[in-house]
Amino acid sequence: MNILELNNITKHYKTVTALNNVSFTVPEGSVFGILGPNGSGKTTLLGIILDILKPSAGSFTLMGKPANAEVRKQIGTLLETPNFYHYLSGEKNLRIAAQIKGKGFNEIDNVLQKVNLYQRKQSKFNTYSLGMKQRLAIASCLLGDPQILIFDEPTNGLDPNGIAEIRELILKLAAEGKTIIMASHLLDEVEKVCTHVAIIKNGDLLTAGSVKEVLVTDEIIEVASDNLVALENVLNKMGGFTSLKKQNSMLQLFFSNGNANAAAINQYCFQNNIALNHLQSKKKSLETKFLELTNKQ
Amino acid sequence: MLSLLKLEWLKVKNYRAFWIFLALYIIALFSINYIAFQFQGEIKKNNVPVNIFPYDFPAVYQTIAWVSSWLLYFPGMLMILVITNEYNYKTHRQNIIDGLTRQQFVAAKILFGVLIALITTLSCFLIALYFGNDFSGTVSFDGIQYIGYGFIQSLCYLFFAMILALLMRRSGLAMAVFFLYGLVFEQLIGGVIDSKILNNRITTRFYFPLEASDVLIPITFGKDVIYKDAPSQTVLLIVCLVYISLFAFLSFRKFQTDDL
Repeated sequence: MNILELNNITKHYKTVTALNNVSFTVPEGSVFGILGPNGSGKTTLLGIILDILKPSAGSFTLMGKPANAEVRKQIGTLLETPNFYHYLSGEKNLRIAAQIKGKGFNEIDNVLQKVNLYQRKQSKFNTYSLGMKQRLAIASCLLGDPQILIFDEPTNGLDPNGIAEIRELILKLAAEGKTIIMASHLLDEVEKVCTHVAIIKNGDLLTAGSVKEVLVTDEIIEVASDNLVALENVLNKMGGFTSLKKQNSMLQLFFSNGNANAAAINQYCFQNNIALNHLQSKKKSLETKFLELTNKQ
Repeated sequence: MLSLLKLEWLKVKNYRAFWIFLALYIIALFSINYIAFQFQGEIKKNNVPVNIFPYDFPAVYQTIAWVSSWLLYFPGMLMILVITNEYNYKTHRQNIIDGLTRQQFVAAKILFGVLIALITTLSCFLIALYFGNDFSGTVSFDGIQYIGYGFIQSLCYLFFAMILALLMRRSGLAMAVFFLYGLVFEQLIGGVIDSKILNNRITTRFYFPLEASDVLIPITFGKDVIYKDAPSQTVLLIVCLVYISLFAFLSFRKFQTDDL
């Protein structure tokens, strides 16, 4: 079953088109990353799914049904900025969320313990640090053990520890079989946890699908020797790569996925009287791929 | 409906500013009537034959309702505060994200407004009983309909404050518009339309939302002096109810179609 299906979602603000005919589907159990530079329309897209923004055109379904409040109660949401009543304690804020979601208050202590906020549950929200606010938001989204989670830039403004904690949480939730939809501009984050991605730029969907399909990564082998000219000649004789690029003191050979063989290169060069002083195989990073995709247009 | 009331209760239960505001308002309701009561006492003591603020039954209900209506801006402010708080903290979004429907969000605020109107009305009733009994030594329920009119008037003010808060989203702006409109502009607009445009052939000024509810409860001698041209109370009551429904309808419409 598809958890989310977007059909030609378009959103115009007064002067800009934030989303332009965006369609893709999120399969059950996936960790789905929505990637894009700042201002590309990621938050607008999540806002539409959560009914805080109205699409100008297009439609979508959540869990196979047109979106409604009952479905939203089954979704845990973590937004860029946690929205809580400043004058209430963390616990009292969670009571409001639980009341809306139709869950009992007895779960509250449990989720507060999960995010290490139990000791401060009586403190007012406006006395919390940014990290604590974010953790309260996580606690709120865990209420009722939802099967779908939506995260919008979940690590924004967090320190390295906080970022690592969120990443662990996402992996743990994914391992429990939950579907996670996450918007981010931090590729590193997406690369580490996502199974699927969609890439948006200026409101246009550039590509969407499983990470393996979308980010078919080229393999790169870097080689160097004392005589780069001779090395290049030998390598050209050997062939098998798609392109060759000269770097400062080394050569980069690009192979399509699965065709790189460092051992064969080493052997071939040696047989042709060239000793390599550098040999390293690499994968093209998601970052390079992302920049390629988003700069193309 | 009960769960919506419970939700609003959870929001204000530990909101100290709200309770201080409400307590001060109720104290002020009593106090302003006490001042008028003393004033009338002085007049009586000096055997001056005017009865501006009659605090004996049955007129006491009308007097209390009229005197108290001057303070209706304060529950209106409370309404604006509670709604614009949601925009400030962006909790209006969070509530929807968590699974409230947009209608339920507005319905909860409407229930909140009705509750505040009920608190105001009940306070006025108790104050009327107290002063009426103190002044005339008996208790009577004649003229109690004015307490009911007071409830309708409170709803006019509170729902008007609600639509302003939903339109402006910022408390300062909404409160400024609320006060200036109610105290100055409504009278001005009504007066200008009647005297300059319609040349007093017909009067429109009694049909504005706050004014209609004000005229519903005239000062005791007002009917013969100030409001000679005013429509009947039945008409005024209908006008008020139309405005109350209109403000509620517009609030639903606005919140339903907005990007939050």
